[in-house]
Order: sequence, then C-alpha cells, then structure tokens
Amino acid sequence: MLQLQTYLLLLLTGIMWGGVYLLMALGLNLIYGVMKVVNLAHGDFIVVAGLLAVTLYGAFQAGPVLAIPLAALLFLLVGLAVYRGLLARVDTAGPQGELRTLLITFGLSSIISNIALLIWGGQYQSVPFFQSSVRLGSLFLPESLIISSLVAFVLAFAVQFWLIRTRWGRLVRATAQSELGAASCGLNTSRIRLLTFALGAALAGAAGALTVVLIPVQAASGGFVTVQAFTLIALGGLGNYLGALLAAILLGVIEVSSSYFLGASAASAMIYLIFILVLIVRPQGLLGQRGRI
Amino acid sequence: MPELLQLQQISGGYHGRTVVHEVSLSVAEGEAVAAVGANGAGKTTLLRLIMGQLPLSGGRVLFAGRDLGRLPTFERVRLGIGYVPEGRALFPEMSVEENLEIGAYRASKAELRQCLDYIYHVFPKLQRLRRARCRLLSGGEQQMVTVGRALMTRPRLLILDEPSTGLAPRVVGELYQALRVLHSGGLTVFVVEQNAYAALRFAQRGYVFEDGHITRVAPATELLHDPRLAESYVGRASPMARSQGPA
Repeated sequence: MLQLQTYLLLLLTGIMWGGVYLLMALGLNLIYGVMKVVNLAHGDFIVVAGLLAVTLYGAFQAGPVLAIPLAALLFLLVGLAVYRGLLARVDTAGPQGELRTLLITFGLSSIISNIALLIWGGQYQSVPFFQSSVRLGSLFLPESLIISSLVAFVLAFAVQFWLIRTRWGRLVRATAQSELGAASCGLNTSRIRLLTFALGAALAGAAGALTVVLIPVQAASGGFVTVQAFTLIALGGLGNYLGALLAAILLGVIEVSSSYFLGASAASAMIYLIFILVLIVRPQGLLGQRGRI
Repeated sequence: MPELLQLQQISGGYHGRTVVHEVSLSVAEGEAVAAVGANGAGKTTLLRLIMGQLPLSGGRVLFAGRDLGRLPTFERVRLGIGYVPEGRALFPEMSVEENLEIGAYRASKAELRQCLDYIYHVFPKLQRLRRARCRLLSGGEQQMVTVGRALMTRPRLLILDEPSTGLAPRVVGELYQALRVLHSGGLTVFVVEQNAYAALRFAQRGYVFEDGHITRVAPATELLHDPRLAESYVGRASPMARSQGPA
C-alpha cells in the first residue's frame, strides 16, 4: 500500500515538473515552429525575468502575481526590439541563414548573461513565495510546484487555443506551415514573424517570473535552461505542440523517479540517455509531423 | 487590349549568378499566355522575380501600368496577382477549407462565402473534400487547392508555376479544363510549363524560354505545330536544349 502511494506521488510530481518544463520551453517551441529559428537566448530571457522577480520581491515584496505580467510585457518589448534590430536585418533563408540566426542569438545570450552578472552577481536567488506544502491523503506536495504546474498547463493550453481557434493564431500556423504559401495569400509574413518572436519572448518572461519560486537561478544559468528546453522540444519533434506536452511529461516523470531511485545526478544523465535513444530511434521526435502547429 | 503584366528586360538570379537574362514579355488583360521551356531554363526564377521573391538585377516589372519596384510578395498579391507557386506551398496540416479561407483572410464573411461557392463551383471535388487535411490529398487535389487558394485572393491575373508537375495525364487535363473555365470567365492567366503540350493547348500565345532567354514568341497553335517543339511533347531528353540556342 505504501509502495503504491510512493509511485503515485512520483507520477504526480513528475507530471507537475513536466508542466514546469513545458512552460519553460513554450516560447522556444513557438519561435522555432514558425520561424525555424532556435533562439539561443531563450534561457537568458527566462533567467533575467526570474532575477527581475527577485528584485521586485526584494523592493516591494511583490509576488509572481505582479511579476509575471510585468516580465511578460517587458520581454514582449525585448522580443520586438531583438527581431526589429537584429533578426529582421539578416537574410535568414537557406542553411546559411540558420547559422546566422544561431550566431546572433548566441551572441545575444552572452551579452544578456554578462549584463545580468553585472547587475545581480553570480549567486543563486529565488523568490520565497508559495512555500507551504499541500496534503493529498498521506502525500505532501510543495505548493510552489502545484501552482507553477497549474499555471504552466493553463498557459500551454491558452497558447494552443490561440493558435487553433483565433484568427491571428491561424495566420501564425499558416506561416509556420508554409511561408511562401502565406505570402501568396497576401499575408505580411514578416509581421507574423515579428509577432511570433515577441510572443515567444513574452512567454519566456512569464515562465522565468513564475518558475523562480521553484528553481533558484543565477545570471549564468541561461545556457543550461536553453539546453533543457531545446531537449524537450527536440524530443517532442521541433515545433510540435502535442509532442512537446508528451515529452515534458515523460521527462518530468523520468527525472523525478530516477532521482528517487538512483539519486539526483543519475536523473539528468537518464534524461539525456533517453534523449539520445529517441534521436536514434525516432529522429523526427516522439510524434514527428503529427500534431504540428 | 491594355497590357496587364509587362516585363521590361528583367534579369536576376541567385547569389550573383544571373539565371534570367533581359527577358521582355507581356500579358494583356483577358489573355491566356504560356511560357514553355525545359527543366532548368529559368522558368521558376522568372516567376520568382515577377512575384518579388527574388530581387531584380535589371529591368522593370509592371502590373496594370505600375512599376512594382521592390514590393514584397504579399503586396503584389494584394494588388491582384494570384500566385500558384512551384511545389504548391499549401498549409499541409490544415483542411482544404482552412487553406481556402486563408486565401481570403481579409474578406468579409459574405465575400468569403461568395468566393468559396465560386471555388466549389469550379472544383466540385473540393467541396466534398473540404474537411480533409491537405497533407492527405492526392497531387491533383492539392494542386486544385493551390489554384483555389490563389483565386480566393480575387486576382486580376493568375500566375502558375508548373501546375502539371507530378500529375497523371488525366489529372493534367482536368486541371487545364478548370483553367479554361476560369479564363473564359474573364481571368487573365500566365502559366509557365515544362509540359509544353498541355500549356500551349490552353494558351492563346506562347513564349519559348531557353537558358534564361526568350527565344520565340508566337500564337500557341503555331508553336504546337512546330516540329522542333513537338519533340518535347513526347518527353525526350531536354529537346529544348538541342534547338538552336538564343535567337
């Protein structure tokens, strides 16, 4: 009986962590899906949003309820500026184009993380919000995890709804599926790309301001966050939403249960082991083309 | 008849390599014109220059008397050039009707309905398939969707890039039959084709395109009976390339 409860707790915690990872990958997935650009500064957006939330908390005792919309708005503007100022100015077509955008976002990542280091220093910081635990029968779950994963799933669902049900979302999907086709329908595809990049950056901002209650960050954590988010979307099939959801839950459950049974350092090894296995067996990701936006 | 599309000695290509050399061509309002040529003659490049997908290195493209300059593709579409690109460029994960609707995304509900009814009248098959995902359609059906989607932008001129590629002969026949219906309804059509036979049977006037140059222009019936061109109908290896070269 006790064992069943342990498994249940591991499963539930795993799914919740999956939700958090999904949120941290949402913006990256959207931007890749539409623009075929891997934004290597994605993790730095998340980290800086988290550090901003720490500062907001320090100055005004403001919690995530205020920090999330502020960070989302701020990074919406950052996204607009980065697209207008950098990405729109280079030729992104062809294999050379992909390299150019990688270099640009990599450079951006270095600049952002170093500025963050100057402002916030190198210590790990967090926002002590939602610190109690919730009892579920005989199980205890941290409140910060429950709230983060709930918000994460709601946001992921909202993005999906926006993409499928709304007029703008539909135009974004059309551009993702064929930019030439979209242009030949009279769509201003560079405006769609701008909107997408800004929205992806805003999602990173929101994710950062929320998850800092759960995962302490420091100025240089961005690279690791990017890799983690990229692993998730690659596992799900780049630009694939349903796949990302599945991959997120899979990664969450694997991480939580392997750190329970094998220890924390084995957990991250397990994740990359699974990742490599999927790349060998199903290089197109868990779902491949099915469920693409 | 006034010229709707005019190319004045346009040149262009990729990464400094010129593919299309000083091509002049015109399509009058209400006309059906074909440009035929072998694979690699630069036909797709020509259309990409017309649609602003590639920058011109020389010359001018005029539509309804207006110099299109450096207008991006979507602006050209909004001016009234419907574009059926090479490879169809559909939205594969969307249904037939969603594809068509995006073609008219700026139209009102009533206009949209009217456009859809017209497309379903021209391509009755698409009405039956309207809920089907485009990825799952046959090549011919996909081509119908692409033509339909271009029509949804309510063009004055329809430009098609190799619409017969990869289609069975019977399907090519159906497609050109639909183009005939559209043309007789008053639409101006400009098609580039490797399948010279199908295109010239449809068009009133034809241009022969070789190595990035226009080498002949004549009424389509005359080109159809040209023995040199006739070789290409039966699909022998690059018959165009063996003819006399730039005139």
